[in-house]
Parts: sequence; structure tokens; C-alpha cells
Amino acid sequence: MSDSIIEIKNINVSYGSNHVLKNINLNITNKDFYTFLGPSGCGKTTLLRLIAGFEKSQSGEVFIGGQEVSDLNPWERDVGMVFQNYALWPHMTVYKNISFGLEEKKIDSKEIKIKVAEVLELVDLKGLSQRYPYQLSGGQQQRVALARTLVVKPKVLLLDEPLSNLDAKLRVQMRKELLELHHKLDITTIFVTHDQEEANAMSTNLAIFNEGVVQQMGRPVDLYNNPTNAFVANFLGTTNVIEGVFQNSVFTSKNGMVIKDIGKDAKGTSVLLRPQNLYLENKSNSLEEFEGTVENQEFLGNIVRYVVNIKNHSLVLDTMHEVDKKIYQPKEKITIFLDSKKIKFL
Amino acid sequence: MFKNLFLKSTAIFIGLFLFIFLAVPIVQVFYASFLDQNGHFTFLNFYDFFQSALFVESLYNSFYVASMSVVLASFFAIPLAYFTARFNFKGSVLIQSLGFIPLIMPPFVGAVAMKLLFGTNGSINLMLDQWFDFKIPFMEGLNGVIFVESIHYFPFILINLISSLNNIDRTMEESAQTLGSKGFRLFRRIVLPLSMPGYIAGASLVFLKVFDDLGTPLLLDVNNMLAPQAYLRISSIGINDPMGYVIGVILVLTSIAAVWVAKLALGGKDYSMLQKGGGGMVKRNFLPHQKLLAYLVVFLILFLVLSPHIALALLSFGTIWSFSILPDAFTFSHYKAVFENSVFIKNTMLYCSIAALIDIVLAFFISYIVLRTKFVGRQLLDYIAMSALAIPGLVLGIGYLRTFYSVNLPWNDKPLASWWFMIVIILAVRRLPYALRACNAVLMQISKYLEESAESLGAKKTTIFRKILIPLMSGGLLAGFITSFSTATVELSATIMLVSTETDAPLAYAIYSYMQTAAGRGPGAGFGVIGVLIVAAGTYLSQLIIEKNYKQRGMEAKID
Repeated sequence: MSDSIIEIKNINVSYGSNHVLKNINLNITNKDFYTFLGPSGCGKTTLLRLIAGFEKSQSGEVFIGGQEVSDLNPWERDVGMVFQNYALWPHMTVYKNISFGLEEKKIDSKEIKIKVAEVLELVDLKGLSQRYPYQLSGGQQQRVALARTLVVKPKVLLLDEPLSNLDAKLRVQMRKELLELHHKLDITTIFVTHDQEEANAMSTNLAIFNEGVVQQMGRPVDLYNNPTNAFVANFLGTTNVIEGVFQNSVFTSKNGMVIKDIGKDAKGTSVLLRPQNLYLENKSNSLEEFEGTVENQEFLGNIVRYVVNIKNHSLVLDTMHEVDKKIYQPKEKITIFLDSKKIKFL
Repeated sequence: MFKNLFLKSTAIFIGLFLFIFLAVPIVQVFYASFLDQNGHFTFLNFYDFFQSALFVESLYNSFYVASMSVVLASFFAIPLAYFTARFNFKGSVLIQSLGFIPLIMPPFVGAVAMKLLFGTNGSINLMLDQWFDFKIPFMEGLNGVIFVESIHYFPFILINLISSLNNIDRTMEESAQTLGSKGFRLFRRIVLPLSMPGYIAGASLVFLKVFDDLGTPLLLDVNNMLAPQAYLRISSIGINDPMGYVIGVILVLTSIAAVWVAKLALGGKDYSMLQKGGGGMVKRNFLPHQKLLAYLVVFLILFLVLSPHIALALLSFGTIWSFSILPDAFTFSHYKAVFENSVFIKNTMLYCSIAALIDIVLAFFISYIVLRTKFVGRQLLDYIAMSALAIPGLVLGIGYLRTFYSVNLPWNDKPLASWWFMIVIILAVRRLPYALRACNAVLMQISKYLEESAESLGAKKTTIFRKILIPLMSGGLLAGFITSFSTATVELSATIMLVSTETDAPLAYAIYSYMQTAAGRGPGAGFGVIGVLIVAAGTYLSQLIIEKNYKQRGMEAKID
């Protein structure tokens, strides 16, 4: 069933010899909270601006609500975009900023008043309508930017790193509020960020970008559990990647580290071990055991993160910290365990 | 503590200097405008002013000329600014440099030469008459003043408008577009209001400069304006005539009002603060016919901008230039006359270098006191020094006459106001804001920690000045010195009041007095060319120093 509100087909964008987006294909389902995640310069913002109509592609098509929009101007697309720097017009009050889009749609002023009041209530800014942007805090400016976009009820809401200009505490709070708004309004949202924690916490689906290519897309938990390449594995949290060969359910690394019982269908060039899937205790007596040396130890409060050297592989291991638990020091011998049934491979 | 005593006494000294040579003369002008013949307080002078048909006409003309100059200057500046900010346009570099050319020559220097180019019987009208059988009265009466002034002062609008437009972040327009706005409506609602601060700042400056200008209307024989009237009253009737002071008061009040109206129009909002990106608007490409049109406009304005310079050069090398498109023949004899009378150039060099030296010393201490100490009233020092910008030179000159004419020099019993050194002081006061701005700019860039670390290593204030601040600020100080120096060389409106004998007169005065007779125009133009060359060289040099300084600073920034 095609419930897609946005379809992106074979999009290519280049600036001169710089190929920014390479053959992008994406479907975004109605009412989805879809995130473009990737490091800076990966092309995620370019794709967002392409959907908004600020960039042109050399080839490919963009459908919004079933309509091909490549030849439409930004003002004909019915998408709402919130910019990273909010882009509030400094010469207009909060009220004027928000009513702008409604005025452009030639809606009568009585109705505008009602709609602006509603949206101000929605973003919790009642009473600030006569302020100028410079009289607002960063968080308040952010809400005005949102309100200004939401008030025209666009088909899609595009958010370009909207939380990156806020301090850490406010960011977490705005994250929650954004999600609440998304649920309340049932509006399809595309969210661009470089912060994997933000992406995991908020999105129903995400696409991970690197060097102009979509590396993988899907639900956050699926991508975390089953990354299809090392970039995705590392971008979504820390992963130990060990290269080697698989043969008869046995994995042998380049340096001679051997993992048995890895399963018959295991194949590829490397294994992925999440730090929390390496243990200091043999809980079920069915785990494989490895001897190593502590290279480094970081006490992070709730967990202790070790870097353990096993056959010249530096493996990161996270263990929950409890009050009486021994903390190993660098150069100490250490025994670690892993469950070969839970190992992912590439 | 010694260091504070030294700085405090310096602050007091500077305060006294500004009080005596800036505040008192202005107050004297105001005071004199309310005195009758017997020295009693009266409003009658103002009543008389508005009863005189000539004065009312002059007042109207001054407003008319200043306003029309803003309009005409806007016609030059707005298209150029828009081309630069909005389009991918190779001509942008040309436009930016074009913006500086008229500023190196004050309008009065080229005024007479412009008459020969654009007057009723000037080159352009002769050609028009020959080919198309009509003439355009560019230089008729007030038109001439408007024309010359707007050619010289439009860069104030251009430069401010370009910087305002370049401050508009692209997202300002993009967010309006996603909300359904486009075309002219988008321009009117977003781009236009956001570029207003720059436009208003530039336009008010043009208005002020034109309103206060004395030399241009005088040389174009337009006497029915306020500044010429004030000058003529004082120079012909004498310093006891109240009308000169009344006009002075009106000039000052108009200046203040123009600044105030501009502030009001801006509403005290700083738009640039919220536009963090500030990368300028999205640039478009010209369509072929647009490009042609754009180049046409740029070259037309380029021709206008260069015309006073071309005309001045022609005049300085021409033998006889009258009723003809070009001078009859060319000669060096005018320059010979110039160098035979090189006393004017020597005077200017002497006056302006002393004045600029005073400026840079005062500016250094003022900016140090304002930015680095907590002295009570330190801001006031800055405000007063900067306020010289808003005081018309003519009014300051009148104030000096009023204040210092009755004080006699102890060694020859001549009035203090006629001593050549007073010209130096008035130039220093007039140009102090330029030097102060340069000093403030560099001192603000120097981290306070550099001084504090020296202090914690046991250095005294004087050592810090000598070993840390002055070396670090040297580029800025030098640039400030050169700017003050070179712009002072062509300052006329203040000095014209204080020149008592030809032998004491500076270059600007020579240009003015030579230009008044037909025979003197050639040498006058020669003096003008020399003045322009000094200012041009100075401007270029200070720009060079500032750039070099930035580069050095860039390297230092990488080290820490």
C-alpha cells in the first residue's frame, strides 16, 4: 500500500565536480517522524532543502503527496521549514512573524487573529505576541519559528537541526515538546540532525547518510541491532569491529583471536561487538572466555568503560557499576566473556 | 597610586581640552544668538530671522537642496547596491571601489570644474546642443549644488546599503518563500525593511553633509542657502552680527534633528544580531539583457563619479577653457604657479601633521580610558569627542571667532583667533572622531589578558603602554593618523573662518580663493589635484596598513 507522502526517486545533486547526493531513493510514510542522520557535509541538509525547493537536482524526481514537485517553486510546495538559525524576521513582532504566512494566503484578519492565538497557545507562548525576536530567549525563538510554520498547516514539516543552537538541558526538553507536537498534530515531520541520540530518541524511521549516499534506513532499533556496514554500526553508538575470516562456524581474526560456535550462516569479513555485549562475569556458563590486559579505564558513574587488549585488538567493554564491584586498573590482567550467539557480522 | 594619578590627570586634561575647544565655542554660538546689541537676553534675533525673506528662502533652499541630494544620491546608490548584493556580477568589484573615489575629494574642490563640464556652456551641453539641439540645466542655480553634492556623497548610501544587504541571511527570504511569499511582495515585506537601517544611516549622513556644506554653494555662486549666508554675514558685517549665530544654531539643531530622526526611524533595533549566518542573500545570475543594462548603469554612474576628477585635471592642465568641449591647449604653467606659491602646501603639511598627531595621542588615551578604566564620566569623554562629527565645521569656526577673538596673544597682542595654531586645533577637534574610531577598533580587538599578564609579571602601566599596547596598536594608530591627516588637508568650512592672512592659509583655502577668479582657476585646479592626490594616497595607505594588520592578527589568533 502506498501511504507515502514523500517519495524521492534517483536523486542526484552535484555542485561542479562535487557530487553531493548520489542516487537517493527514499519513501516517507504519512505521519512519520523521519530523521536524516549523518555527519556534517553528508548531504542530509541538501536533501532537505531539495524537498523544500531551495536546491535543484541534476536528475531524479521528488513527489509530495503524489505530485511531482521538481518544477515547483518553494512557495508552491506547501511544505513548512524551520531553519537551524530560526530565521525569525527581526523587523516583525512575534505576532507578525506568525501571521505572515496566513497573510500571504489572503486569509481575513479575524481568522488570522484566531489562528495565531491558537498556535501561540500550542507552543506555550501566550502573552509574548508583541515582543520582537531579539527580546526572546533561544528556546522562545525556536517556538516562534515552529509556530510560524505550523500555523499554515503544511503537508510536511521540515526541521533543519532545530535543536543545535540550544544548550544541553533545553535541547532535551525541546525534544520532548517537538515529539508531543508531532503526535498532537499528526504531521509528517522530517528532521535533520547529526546527533545519533536525538535521532534514536525521536524518530519512527531514519536514514543514515554518509558522503552523499544513504547507508541504511529503517527503524532506529533495527538499525542499531542489524547495521549493514561499519559506518552505520559506529555512527549509532560505539562498536568493536574485528576483521577476519569465517570458516565452519568459527571466526578467526587477523591477529589470531578465535570465536567458536558463531553459527553456520555467518559469513563476511568482520564481526561487530557492542561494548555492552562483552561481560566480566560468566553469567550463564555458556559464554566464551578471553584473556586480556586492561589498556584504559574510564569511570563514567553508572558504567565503567574499559579498553581491553586481546591479541592486539583493542576492544571497548562497558559494565554496569555497582558499589562493591572491583575496578580494574590499566595493565591488569582481565578475563572477559561474550555470547557468540549474539554476535553480528558483516 | 602613580598609574591612576597619571591616567586621571590625562583624563582631566583631555576633558579640559574638549571643553575649551569644542564645548565652549558651541555654547558661545548659542549664547550669542540670544543676545541683543546691548548684551541683553532676547528672542528677537530668531524673530528677525524668520521675518527676513532672504533667510527664510535660504532655510527653504538648504532643506530643498539637502533633500533632493538624498533623492539623487539614492538614484545612484540603490541600483549599484542591489546589483552587488543580489547578483553574481563581475562589476561588483568595480562598484565597491567606485564607492570610494568621490569620497577622496570634497565637493567644493571640483565644483568649478564641474561647471565647465556640465554648465550651460559646458562640454556636455555643447555636445547635446550640437547634436540634439537641446540643453540640460544640470548646473543651474540650486541644481548645480544638488548635482555636485549627490555625486560626491552617494557613496555614504551605497556603502551602508551594501553592508546592510550583505547582512541579510538567505534564510530570511527562504522562510518567507516556504510560507508562500514571492516576487515583489517578498522584496517589499522582507528585503526592503531589513535593508532600511543601512539606507537610513547613509541617507541621513548625506543630508547632514549637504546641509552643512559651505564651499560648494559659495563656489557655484549660490548664496541663498544657510551656510553661505552665515559665512557672508560674519565675514562682511562682522562677528557682532547676531544673524551668523542664529544660522549657526539652526545648522546645529538641524544636524541633531537629522541624527535623531534617523535613530527614531530605526527604532533602535539591531537587525544584524539575529541573523547569525549573515552570508548575504541568495545570488542570482543576470539574464543577458539584464547584464547589458546593469553594465550600462554602472558605466554611466562611473562616468559621473569620475567627472569631477576628470574636469579638475583638465582644468589644471588647460590654457583657456570656455565655450568649448575641451580646453584650447594644454600647459604646465598652472603647476608652475602652484609651486611658486607652495607656502599653502607647506602650511597644510605642517597644520595637518600636527593636528593628526594631537588626534592620535588624544584618541589613544580616550579609547584606553573608556575601554580599560572605570573612571566616572569616561563615556562622556567619548560622546563629546565623537560629537564633533555632528557639529558643522562652519559653526565651530564661528564659535572659535566668537570665543577667542577677544583673547589676545601675550607676545604680540593679536587676537588668539587669528593665530595659525588655532587652525591646527580646529582641524584636530574636527578630525578627532576619525582617529578615535580607529583606536577604539584596534583596542577592542586586543585581549585584556595581554595587559593583565604583563601586570602580573610586575610591569607598570607606562611599561605596558610602551611595550604591549603601542606596538600592538601601531597599525591602527598609524591608519588613524593618516585618515585624520589626509581628510584634514581638504577641510575648508572650519578653517575658512580662521584664516587671517594669506601666508597662514592652508591648501583648501587656496583652492577656494583661486577658484573664485577666472584667471585663478588653472592654479586653483592644480592645488585641487594636489589635495586629491594627498587624500587618495592617504586613503590607500591606511587601507593597506589596516589589511596588513588584519593579516598579522590572523596569524596571532592561530598561535593561541
